[in-house]
Parts: sequence; structure tokens; C-alpha cells
Amino acid sequence: MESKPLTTRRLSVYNLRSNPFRTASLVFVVLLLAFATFGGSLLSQSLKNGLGSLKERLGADLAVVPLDHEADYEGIILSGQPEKFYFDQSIEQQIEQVEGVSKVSSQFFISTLAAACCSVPVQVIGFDPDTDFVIQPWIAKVYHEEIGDGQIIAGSDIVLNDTGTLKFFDDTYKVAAQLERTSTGMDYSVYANMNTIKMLVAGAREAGMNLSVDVYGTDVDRSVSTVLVKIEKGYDADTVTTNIRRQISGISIVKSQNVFASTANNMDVLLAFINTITLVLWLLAILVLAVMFSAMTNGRKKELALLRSVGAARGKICGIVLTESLLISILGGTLGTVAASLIIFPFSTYTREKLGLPYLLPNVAVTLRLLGMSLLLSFASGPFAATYSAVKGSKAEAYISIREGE
Amino acid sequence: MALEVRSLTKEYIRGRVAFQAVNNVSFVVQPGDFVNIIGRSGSGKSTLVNMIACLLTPTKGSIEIDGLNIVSLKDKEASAYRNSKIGYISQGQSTLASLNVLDNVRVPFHLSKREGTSKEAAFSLLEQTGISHLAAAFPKHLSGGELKRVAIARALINHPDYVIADEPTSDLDVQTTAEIMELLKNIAETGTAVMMITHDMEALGYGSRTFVMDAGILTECAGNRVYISHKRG
Amino acid sequence: MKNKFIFGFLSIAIGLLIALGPLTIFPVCGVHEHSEEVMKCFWTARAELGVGFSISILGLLSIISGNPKFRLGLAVAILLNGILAFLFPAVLIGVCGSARMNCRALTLPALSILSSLIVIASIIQAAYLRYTNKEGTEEHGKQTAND
Repeated sequence: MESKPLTTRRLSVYNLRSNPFRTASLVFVVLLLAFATFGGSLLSQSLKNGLGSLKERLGADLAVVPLDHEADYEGIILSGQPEKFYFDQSIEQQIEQVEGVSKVSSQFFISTLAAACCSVPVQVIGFDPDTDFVIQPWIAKVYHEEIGDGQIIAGSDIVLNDTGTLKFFDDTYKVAAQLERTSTGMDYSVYANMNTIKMLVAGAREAGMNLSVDVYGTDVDRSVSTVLVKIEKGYDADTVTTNIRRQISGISIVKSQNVFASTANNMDVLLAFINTITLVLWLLAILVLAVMFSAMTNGRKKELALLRSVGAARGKICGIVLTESLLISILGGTLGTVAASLIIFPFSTYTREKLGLPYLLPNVAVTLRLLGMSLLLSFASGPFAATYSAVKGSKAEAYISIREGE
Repeated sequence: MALEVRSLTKEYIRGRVAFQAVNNVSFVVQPGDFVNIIGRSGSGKSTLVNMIACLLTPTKGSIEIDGLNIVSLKDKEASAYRNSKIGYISQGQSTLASLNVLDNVRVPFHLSKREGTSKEAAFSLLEQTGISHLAAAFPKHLSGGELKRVAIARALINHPDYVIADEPTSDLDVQTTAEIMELLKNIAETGTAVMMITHDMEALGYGSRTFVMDAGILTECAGNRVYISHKRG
Repeated sequence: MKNKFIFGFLSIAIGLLIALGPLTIFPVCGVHEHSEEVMKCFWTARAELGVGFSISILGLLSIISGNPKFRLGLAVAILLNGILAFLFPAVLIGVCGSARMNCRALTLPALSILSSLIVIASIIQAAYLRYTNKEGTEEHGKQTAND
């Protein structure tokens, strides 16, 4: 057998190994700490990302919808909850005339009921490529040609067939492109131009699923679901809202600003909660670690004094205690971040559904930065908590001299 | 390789009153000496040897080894000195529970930078102390006498000039005490000076010189008179 | 010897989770609300019920058995079962077609993680058993023995 030198690291490893239960407990504390740090920071970063994404994608300043359908519209924007409501197309022209309105574009909503097996209703949003100023900027990020008739653009969370198509009723539609993830209702929606929408409705009626499409007797040619409004520079949303209300009756108006503000408010509460929990867990873990290391060093006073008596310098003793705490931190920190990753990443859709808030995982660079920070923090936690014990332990020869007076 | 202790004093403050645990002690130890240090508990014996081992800094006085005053050494140098020149056998059971017997003996070898490996040397020391069959065992399975042998083997791994033994036989039976004392005597015969603190009258006979420590003052006595005076005092 | 219990109990626990999880903790959608159609994930849950129990029983045998070679075989069997447990929801049967449905958002990742864990554990166990079988008994001075 070869003879391995008894280095500081090896002495530390042997000591950790000689008491597996104590070591496991310490590792578990660091694991919790790393889990809280990485999980908490990922969660709050995802929420902030989601909010940023929502702000960017709101696009229009105002959305005019049929009377009392504000909540339904917000549902579509925030979570892609399928809804349908219609009013007469002529409203679009009326709004365009209102003072302070810069641009208008109408959209037409239908929801498909489970067309193929194992799917949920999907919100299909028809838009007018000529006037649209909301959706096309996002489509342009992934698809540079004009969207033709019969083509659709799918949100990021729409699961396509293997052939890159979607089947609605009995007809198959080619998916021209799939949008980037936005954490808004866009992810669960499907976009098409009005001609495609008409094809879809015709297909549904042909398949005898008029009720499923739920367009009722609506005349697709003369109805719209919402009119999106961009306000002219120099006017504020409230003034324009009042102007529109004064001229047109039987409508409700959703202000994007308000949608954003109320979401941001909800999120602030959650963020404060997450940050508090993370901080409390962190402090608790450091405290527990410090107490445990201190108890551990106290219990080993005799061993440390022995090492001193056979020629270990103070630095060496500190080194052994700190190495032990570092090894524990590395193990616990790695396990904790892995555990957090195993929960945050695979279950991100589920988390988002449960939170009911815009939730968008950060990109790889940001994720790696958070990971690095969490690992650094958790790796440092052990040595940080053990510093006092290490210094105290390195003065262990006092133990020998104290005995003289006993 | 003489060890010269001159006017060594260690002062402690106990309850706001200063007292000399070691008071103006001077003596010389030559290679091969087997020195007994006896005295009542609290008389300053351990304080004295701990200063010689550089574990405590004296208040006054000097300890010179080949003209080098070790009192002024910094912790790192002091530790290196202790590691290479002193073999320390502390009182009671003094092993690292997480290491097996062989590794316990090897520890001092690896505390300073050294060439080569320690395994063969450690194993031969275990043979010398008669416990080579326990090399792979862990301290918790060893008896008191066996643990003391481990401590002796460990004290010798770096070929020290001085072995300090603090009550090496305090928790051993008569038979084992005799065996341990034989071992220490053999060490002294090879030229290593042995300084032993003891309360054990059986152990006294093995030493070549005897010092009595009383209230911090050290006196050297000759032969049996020590024993008697100690008994009286 | 400790690792025999660790791996055995891990197999039993993960096996039970794979078997019963899709029906309880992280349920599949099962039957469609509107069409009353039985969905894919229902069959995935059924298949996982079988393969999960199989993993548990193999884990139990691994604890009972004293023969390292037999336990090596059991580890390989658990490995193959674990791969099946992974493939049922991912490829062989699949789950429902919408990202926000339970079986895709919850059951699929849960089963993927559990089956990956048991696959990794059984590879480690198999490698360990093979290594220790080759080594035979260790001579004196071995620090690492079963700590």
C-alpha cells in the first residue's frame, strides 16, 4: 500500500468521515441555505423578468372591449385564458375619429375546444396585418415574411404536432413560426390573419362544431373582439378614455398601465415575501452553523491541543477546522443548488400556473450568474461561520496549561 | 545538545493576585538524561514542561538549546521546533479518534515539510513498542496501555532530542507501568533526553535524575532522598 | 454494508413514488373533462404503476439478498426499469398535448427526475458492486472501509 501524506485536507476528511451523522447534519444545513439562496434568487428574478416581459408586450395603450369584458381581456393578456366576446366592426372606425387616438387595430378572438385528443382550449387571435402594431413586432423577431392565409404563429407553450402543424377541427394548419417565451398569455395563444380565422370558423361549422367555436351567430366579417388603441403623443390615457367613452356607448376600456400596475403590486407582495424568507433562512443557517462548529470545536479541544503539542502551528489548526467547514459547504452548497434546480427548472410551467403571475426564467447568462453567486455564498458560509471556532480552536494549548490549576 | 534553563519564571494572575507557577528555575539536561519531575498537583510541573515545549511563553528567563533561545520564537518557528526536537507524550489518552493507530503515529511527521514517507518508520516504531499488530485498528478499540504505546511511538517519529512525558503511567496498572517505563528507559539509553512528570513511585526508579517541584521552585535531589523528602513534603 | 440499505430503501421509495405519484401527489389528467375521452397520460400512469412497483420489489430483494453478484444483477434490472419509467411519459406513451396541463407541467418533470435519480443510483450501485467484487477482501490499513 502506498503511503499518503497526512495533509490538512486528509486530516479534515478523516475527521468528517469519523462522525457521519454530524457531518450529514452540517451538510444538510448548508444544503438548505444553498437551496434558499439559489431557489429564492431564481424565483424573484423570474418574476421580475416576467413583469418586464409583460410591460414590453402590452403594446397598446388602451384596449376597447365590449361592455363588462375587461376582466376577460386581462385574462387573455395575463394567462391566455380562452375567452370570446364581440362587438360591431364599425366601432373601430368610430374610435379612430376620437381625439387623441393615434393608431387603432382590431383583433378577433375565438377559442377552440379540445380539437385533438389531450389538449386544452386554445385562444386563437385574429389580427389585421395592415393595421396591427402590437403582435407583428414580436412575430418579426422569429419570422420575417408576411403571414399568409392558412398559416399560423404559435405561442411558445403551444405543443405542436411532430410535423410542425396544428389541427383545428378537421383542418391542419401550418405553423410558420413559434414565438419566444413571454410569460404572458401570448405563450398559450395562436395568431392568424383574418382570412385564416374565417377559414377556421368555416371549418368548425362544417365539422358541426359551431357550438364549440362559440361564435354563435356572429358574422365573422362584421365583428371584432377588441380594438387596440395607441394614444397620440401629448395626450394621456385618462383623457383619451374619457373622449372615447363620450362618443361610444356599450363598451369597456382596459388601460394597459393599470393591468401592469396591478400585476406589479401583486408581485411586490410576493417578492417581499420571498426575499424575507430567503434572508431569514440564510441568517438561521449561518447561526446554526456557527453554533454547530463551535460545539464541534469545543468537543475536539483535546484533539486540537494534542495536535499543537506534537508540532502543529496555529495556522495549521485553523486550516484543519476551516478546511472541514469548506468541505461541508462545498458538498452542501452543490447538493442544495442541484436540488433547487431540480425543482425550479422542470416545474417552471407548474409554478407559473400556481402563481398566476408573469413568470419568466432568466436566460442562461443570468442563470449562471445567480448559480455562481449562490455557490459562492454557500461555499463561504461554512468557513465564515467557523472562523470564530477555528481561531478559538487554534488556542487549544491553553487547555493543557489550564489543567495545571485544576 | 544540552538544554539549559535559566531563571525561568511564569507568572499567572489568579483572582487579581499574581503568583509564580514557576519561580526562577534553572537547570541543565544532557543527552541521555532520564529526568523525573515530581511534586504536588499545582506545583508548576506541567507549566514548566509546557514552556520547554514552547506551548507556553515564560514571563522571564531563557531556555537555550545549542545556544538558541527558544523563548523568543514565533508560533510558526516554535511549532516547527516542537515538531522536530520534542516528542510530547501528554497526560491521559491522547490520540486522534478519526485516525487509525498507524496514522496517529504518522501525524507529527506530516506537520512539517519532510522528504520521504512515514509509513515504514511508523510501522517499525509500532514494532518497537510492541503494537504493530494494531496498526490498522482505531483508538476506540485499544486499551489504556496500548494507547500509551501509540503516544510513545508518535513522540519518536521525528527522532526528537527530548521526550517530554506528562504522567505517562497515571492510569495504568503495575504490570503495564513497568513495560511503559522500560520503553522510556530504552529511549533515554539511545541518547534522547527524557523528562517525565510523575506521581507514580513505581516509575521513579527508572530515572537517572530527580527534580522536586514545590510552589514553583525546582530542586534537584540525589537518589532515594528525593523519594523520602517528597513523601514528607 | 450500509450502501446496500441506502440503495435498497432508495429504490423502494422511488419505485413507490413512480408507481403511485401519477395517481396521487403529481396526478395525470386522466379522463378529459369535456369529451370524456381517456387521454394518453392515463395509460402512462398505468404503465408507471407497473414499472414503479417492479423497481420497489427489486429494491426490497436487494436489501434481503446477501449475495453481491445477485445484487449486481438486481441493480442492472432496476437500471433498465428506471429507463423504462423515463421513456413511458417521454416517448413510448407520452402525455397530453398542452403545456399547461397537469400531466405535462407536473407529472412529466416529476417522473423524469425520479427515474433519472434511480438510473443514476443504480449505475453507481452496479459500479460499486463490480469494483468491490473485483477487489476482494482488503488488507490492513484501509482507511476507507465502510465509513
